[in-house]
Amino acid sequence: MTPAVINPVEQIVAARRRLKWIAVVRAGLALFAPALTALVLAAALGPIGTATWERMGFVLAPARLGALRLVLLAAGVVALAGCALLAWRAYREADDFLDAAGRVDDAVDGHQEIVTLASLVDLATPQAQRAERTPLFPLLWQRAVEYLERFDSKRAFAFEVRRPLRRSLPIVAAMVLVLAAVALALVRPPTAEQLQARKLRAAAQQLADSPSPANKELASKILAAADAMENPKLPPQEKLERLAEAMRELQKQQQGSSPQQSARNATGSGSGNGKGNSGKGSGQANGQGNGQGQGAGNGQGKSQGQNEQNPKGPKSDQQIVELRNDISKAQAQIETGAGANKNASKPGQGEKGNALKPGKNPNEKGPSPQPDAMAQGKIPRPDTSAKGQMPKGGANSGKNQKGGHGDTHLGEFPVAENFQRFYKPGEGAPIEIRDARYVVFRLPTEVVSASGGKIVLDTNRPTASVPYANVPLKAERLDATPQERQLVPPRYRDLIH
Amino acid sequence: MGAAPQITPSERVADFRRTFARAEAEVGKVIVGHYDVVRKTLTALFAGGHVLIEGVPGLGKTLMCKTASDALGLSFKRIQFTPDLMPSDIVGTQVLTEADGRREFHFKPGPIFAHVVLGDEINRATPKTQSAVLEAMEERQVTVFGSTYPLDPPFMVLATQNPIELEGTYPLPEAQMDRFLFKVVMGSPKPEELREILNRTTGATMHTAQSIFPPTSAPSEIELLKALVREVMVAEPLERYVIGIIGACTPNGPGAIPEVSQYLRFGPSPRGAQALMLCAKVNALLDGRVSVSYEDVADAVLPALRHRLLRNFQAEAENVTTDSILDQATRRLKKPRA
Repeated sequence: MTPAVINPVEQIVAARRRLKWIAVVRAGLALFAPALTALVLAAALGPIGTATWERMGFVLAPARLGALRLVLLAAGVVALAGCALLAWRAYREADDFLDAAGRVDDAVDGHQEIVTLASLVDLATPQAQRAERTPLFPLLWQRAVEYLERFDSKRAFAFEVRRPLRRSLPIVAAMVLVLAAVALALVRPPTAEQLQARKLRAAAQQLADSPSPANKELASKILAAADAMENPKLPPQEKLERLAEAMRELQKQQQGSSPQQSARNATGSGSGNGKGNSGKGSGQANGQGNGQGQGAGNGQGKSQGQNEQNPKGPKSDQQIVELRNDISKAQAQIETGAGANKNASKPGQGEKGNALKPGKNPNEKGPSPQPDAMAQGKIPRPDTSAKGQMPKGGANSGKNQKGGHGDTHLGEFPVAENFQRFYKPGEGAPIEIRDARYVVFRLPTEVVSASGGKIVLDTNRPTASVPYANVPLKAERLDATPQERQLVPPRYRDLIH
Repeated sequence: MGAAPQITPSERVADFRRTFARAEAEVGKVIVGHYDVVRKTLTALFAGGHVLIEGVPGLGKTLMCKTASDALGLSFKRIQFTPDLMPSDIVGTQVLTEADGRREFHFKPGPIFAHVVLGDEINRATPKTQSAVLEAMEERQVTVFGSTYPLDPPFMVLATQNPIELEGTYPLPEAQMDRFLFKVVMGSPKPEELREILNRTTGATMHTAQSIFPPTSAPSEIELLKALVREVMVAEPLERYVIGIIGACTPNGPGAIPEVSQYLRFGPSPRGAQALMLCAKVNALLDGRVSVSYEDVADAVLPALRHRLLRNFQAEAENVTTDSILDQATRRLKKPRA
């Protein structure tokens, strides 16, 4: 069997084909890792946001999360497009016969003989088009064949993955760092509503784990309410409706398990969902409505839960009580937020009932600071009637009340401290200087200059004792020896005498 | 005169290498050391160029030239350049002769009419006399009284100059320097070489070089080998590399390095590129190849270009040599990819 005749040109063409694909892979891999990272991060942004929220207590707003995901997706797509572009460019650039010959030459250590042969046979080069091959060309061909006998393009030009990937690692690291920085810049401490929604969500999660379909139904309602709470686009009324639905579902479930309990619960929470008035009513009237409705409902419910269920110790009942409290708090949060928003949106419309009123007695209760009737009707307030119905509520007078945080797990509500305010000018006893916090000094606006000065001659200043004139100094001889010697180039030698 | 069709290319290349090695060996019988100078001198001969040899007196410059011509079996003439040397003393002149009662002018050839002409201490002659060699070196002919006389090939001028005794000398003009293919610098011998020199020159036996060619066929044989040198192939990237070197050594040129622009007034001419390429071709043949490599070109840079760079005043004052500038330029130049 005769050995296969090696054609150097075919070998170079085969090497060029392989080099083209190697160039494609190398160029593509340079941006593939960043593209993949961007897409994976975009997909994992939700879980990352959840983990941030659950582990660190910071929340990434859904809108910002969406924008960030969009940016990451765009970056991934752009990187993929760049990947394809680079690969295409690399393919085009590697499609060079002479360059492939040069690579083969380097691989076989051919002292540019392969390149010379390629430049003489490649019709794309001007040298080959001159087509003047010397009588030594056969010898060159023969030597190229000898070189290429031991050449294997697959072994010489292996696909390399590690190096381009390693080269793209800084880009990936930069992307992750930038994303982390952006996420850090965008995360915010959660609002009260979000915190409440988180609690509801956790409770719903526990309910969803139970096998009972009723619990699952309740869990879905609570989850919907939590979602609604976290959705900033939904109006407060809708959020409240969702919460009311969850509350109704909760009551339904409670009625099913304990008719007595349900009856009491109905009185407790039924008035809490009532709508308030326009918010322009007087502060006194609002305070009354609030105390009666919400305070009564929550106080009774909690006391029932504690009195009846704790001795038995079933965990689910305890959960339900806590859940009801959480829903109530969530409702209160939304109502507070809605009221505040309303106030903020109408700053100059004469809602004087909402502002603090000056009175003669600084300890006298002024109008309620609550913004509107709707909010007041639902938020438990430490008002007289409400206080009477609270489990631990004492007969605190509004004047000397010191306030307290209360144990919310036991159904207690925070009690507001009696407010303090400062005197207005002209109010109260006359102010003495020792009561002052700041003293304002007024500087005279104009300084009156003295006109009675006189000119005094300075007779003690030094004067010249020797006559002098502005005459140039005497020229001194430069007797210093030169510090260095320099060689004079031959061409300038004749110029020096 | 072309390549002999009977023998194969590989045989021709082998013959070239054999001839070159024998010539080196013959010169080496007389000259101790200076292998690079001998090699470059023979390279210039086969490339068809002239060599300027620079070195202090007593190093054997003249002996080396004489020995090389003896080894190659070529005719040799020596011209001692002095300030009062006239051009006619080199190229020859018309003399009035009387034959058969008639007086006629006959051309009496000067010493330039030889295969190897040694111009000893060429910088001692006046520029007028130095210029008399220009036409011979470039055109391989001389013109006397309107008549042109061709010089027999191969023709080679080996000139020597002393770099230290500059009193009363006339440095070669740039135009004449450019006509030398190489400028080689002959350094002092090493101690062991000096010992060998003493043994050879002060002993009873006198060493002489024998011609490697038959007495009559030497010129034609050398011309065949010169033709072989021209047949060596050069790849297009190598051509660009040579061009890049020339560009890198041209002040304010596109590829010039800062040192070149700082220390040089003028760079190498196209003749420098030709010299580089020819020397590289000879180097390739000596390595048994028929195509030029980057190493071949790099080896030729210093002897082919060092005398073609014109330094400015700053370089002379700071003693910056052309060798160092060339070294910097070639080191920074990237080898072009195909």
